Amino acid sequence: MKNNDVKTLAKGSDKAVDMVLKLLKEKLSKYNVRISRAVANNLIVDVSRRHLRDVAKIVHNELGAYVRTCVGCDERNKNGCFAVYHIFGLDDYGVNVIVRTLAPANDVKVPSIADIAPGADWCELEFRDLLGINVTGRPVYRLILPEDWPDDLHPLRKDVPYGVRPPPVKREEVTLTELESPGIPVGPYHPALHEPEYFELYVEGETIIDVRYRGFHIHRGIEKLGESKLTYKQIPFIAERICGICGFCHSTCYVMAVEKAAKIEVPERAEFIRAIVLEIERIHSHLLWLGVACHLLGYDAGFMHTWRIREAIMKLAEYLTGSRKTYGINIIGGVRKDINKEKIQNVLKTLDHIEREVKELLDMMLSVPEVKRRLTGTGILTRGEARKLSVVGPVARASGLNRDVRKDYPYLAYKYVSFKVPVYTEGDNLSRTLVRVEEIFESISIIRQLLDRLPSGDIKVEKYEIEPDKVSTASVEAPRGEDIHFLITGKGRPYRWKVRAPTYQNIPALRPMLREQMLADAPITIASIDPCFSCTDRVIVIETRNGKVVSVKRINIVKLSRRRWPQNEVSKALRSS
Amino acid sequence: MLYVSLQIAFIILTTLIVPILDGIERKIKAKLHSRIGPPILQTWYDIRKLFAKELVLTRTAFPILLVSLVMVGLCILTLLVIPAGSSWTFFSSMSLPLLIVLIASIHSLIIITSIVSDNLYAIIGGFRELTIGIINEIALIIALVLTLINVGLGYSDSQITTGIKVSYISAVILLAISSYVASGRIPFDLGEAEPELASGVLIELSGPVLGTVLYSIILKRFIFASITALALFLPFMRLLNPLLAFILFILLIIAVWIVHAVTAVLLGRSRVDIATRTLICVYIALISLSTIFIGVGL
Repeated sequence: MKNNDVKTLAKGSDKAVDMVLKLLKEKLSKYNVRISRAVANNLIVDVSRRHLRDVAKIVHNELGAYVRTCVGCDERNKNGCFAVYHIFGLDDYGVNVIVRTLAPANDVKVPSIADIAPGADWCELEFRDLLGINVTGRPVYRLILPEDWPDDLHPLRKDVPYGVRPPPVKREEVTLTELESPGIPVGPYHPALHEPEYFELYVEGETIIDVRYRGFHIHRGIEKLGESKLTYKQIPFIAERICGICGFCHSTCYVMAVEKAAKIEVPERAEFIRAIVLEIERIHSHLLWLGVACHLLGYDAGFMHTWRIREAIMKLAEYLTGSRKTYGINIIGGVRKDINKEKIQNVLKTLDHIEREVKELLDMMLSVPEVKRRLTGTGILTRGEARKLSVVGPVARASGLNRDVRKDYPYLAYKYVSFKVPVYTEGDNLSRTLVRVEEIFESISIIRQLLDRLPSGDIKVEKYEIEPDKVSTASVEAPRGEDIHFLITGKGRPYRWKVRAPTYQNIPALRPMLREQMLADAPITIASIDPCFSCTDRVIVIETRNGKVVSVKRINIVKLSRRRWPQNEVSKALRSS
Repeated sequence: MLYVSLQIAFIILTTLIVPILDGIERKIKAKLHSRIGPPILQTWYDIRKLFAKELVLTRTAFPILLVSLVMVGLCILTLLVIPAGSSWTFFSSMSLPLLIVLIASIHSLIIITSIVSDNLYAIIGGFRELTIGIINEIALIIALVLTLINVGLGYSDSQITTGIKVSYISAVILLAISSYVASGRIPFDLGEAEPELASGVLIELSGPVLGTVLYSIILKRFIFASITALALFLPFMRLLNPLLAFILFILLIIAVWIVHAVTAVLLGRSRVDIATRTLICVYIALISLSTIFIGVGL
């Protein structure tokens, strides 16, 4: 197919899916594969384990797809096998190619494709940990589960009940890097990190020569919770709690995956409202990040003023949704809160004010010599590395990859607005900053356009049915990059629900970014991917010692917060409440 | 006798007001950040709280405690050498060399507190302080000498001149910059750089030991503000009566402190290699200019 044809193609359309189908049939003709259409813009390629690597090579290397994620699934009660789904994205077409491989229950292993597509490195280890699907042809180590978790217990298997708490197994942690240089620990608690993660930076003088990462300290099994305890309708509210910053992206992503699987026609007005709230979330997330970046660079004036301006956005979110964060307006089939004319006027006025203030602040911030000098030429990620590691979001765009889910896999009301996707080629910390800065103004423009064109009509669909065994994916361009939710429908709740946050995809890029850098630039380089470890680790529930989920009413929290407590009594009181 | 009384008053006043000056600095920063900030006496409250904590003397904390006590002593001794607006000759012609030795000793002790510790962050912080300190102290010494050359070649009051020359201005600029760098504020607070070093040289300290070190750091900041103020004030010293000179000198030190505070708000943190390169370039340029100006009699 000619390049011009691809450029004029409506991404994600039926025509685009057909084109990719034809292309795949042509390229994979010599292998024993079955290609079929799944819901929306998804194609499923069923391939045997023997040909998985060949297919991955063709899809990743020849067709130029990138790894969006891979998912393991226990399908023993359906077909007696474990399944592995490698999800590749073809940006030019807006089509997902889902490569499905089955591994019989008595021989649970699949070949690794991490050497072909390094973006699959972590998700292979994840399904090895959580489902016990062995990966051959690569070094393996424990990624998600804690070191003291038993080897033979895989929590996402269907025969493992939710809430199981095995006694800890004593084991020494495996050292991944053995270097003579001193290892500087950054984490699990460190002023440069705002969540518990662990980086070990090996230095010579002040130059970093290698990096070791250990994460997933706060993995609590939200997927297991969704697959075994909650219903379809409850999950949007728990999905929103995956992240304290981009929670709405996750709930939107989940409901979109269900809506695609159940072929629910969501009212246009609801799609507009979702897109407006998503852009508000992007603005406040980027402002938050800019503040943190200023703080890490020792420019606290920038930090304070950015967060002061962000406050107006938080109030705007509260005005539109009723909450500063964790809005709770997403439901399957639409939204719960409407936007009236009075609100539109007030939002537009606030946006004008915010735009002016942000512009002044950013001009000032980027004129501070230390800020500019320390951002320029540090933490470089080349385009080649970015492509190889399948990074997403501002990290990809700062390294020359024009990758934005809003354009590449159109969803919600983004097809009705025009906006620019900022792309830089330098790949350094300054480029990632500038991408976010430009995106703030683009988001303001998008909200204005959406409010201007807000259609009338309903905001939700009341009745729908969700058939089991449908495979669906949905992605949302969150502030940090794309969120992707993979869903296999079940009865009353998902059979398999997989969440992949952007930080999960971007953290492996930190190694090339940090090598040969000065130690002083490590915090800003780590922060430049805007890491969100709660998204990546998927922490969600507060659990008591006996394993029960605690539901704390707001009024109780307010009461507790107003009392003076002796030390260590607060958690006891929360449990008893 | 008046000079002695003023010098003693200067030391007593300084030891009491430095935490308040730090409180004012925090308030100014807060104002520029659009926030309320802590009360002006907050630094006093912090020090009081730290001294109320139990004294934990680990293997490394004990030498650090000793070093920090010596540091406070040295800071007070340095204040004795700085003429409180009255007379440079209070301690005779050895004042300048003594001042230089004392400043170098204070810096060395800060570095020793970090190197004594086993902590990697503290050691890195210590070496950063050392790197910046070596470059800066050379510039500071040259600046002090150039300033005195400009206001009068000797150290006695009678030789101090009152005319202002271009070379004097460039020497004072050099002194002001090197004093600011020595005060350890942003962008040169590299030894403590919180994001990567988690307070670096201070990381292993707690309770009264931390309180003592923090107090000596504030004293050190006052000393460097005094040195800049002294350089600005020196040509006018003889024109004023001692009491008025004393009051004006104190006010000038407070003004310099406030300028330091505002400067710190406007800048971001540097990196040790960038800071080193920048300082070397700036210092070479200013020293060359001052020398040329003195040479041509400007």
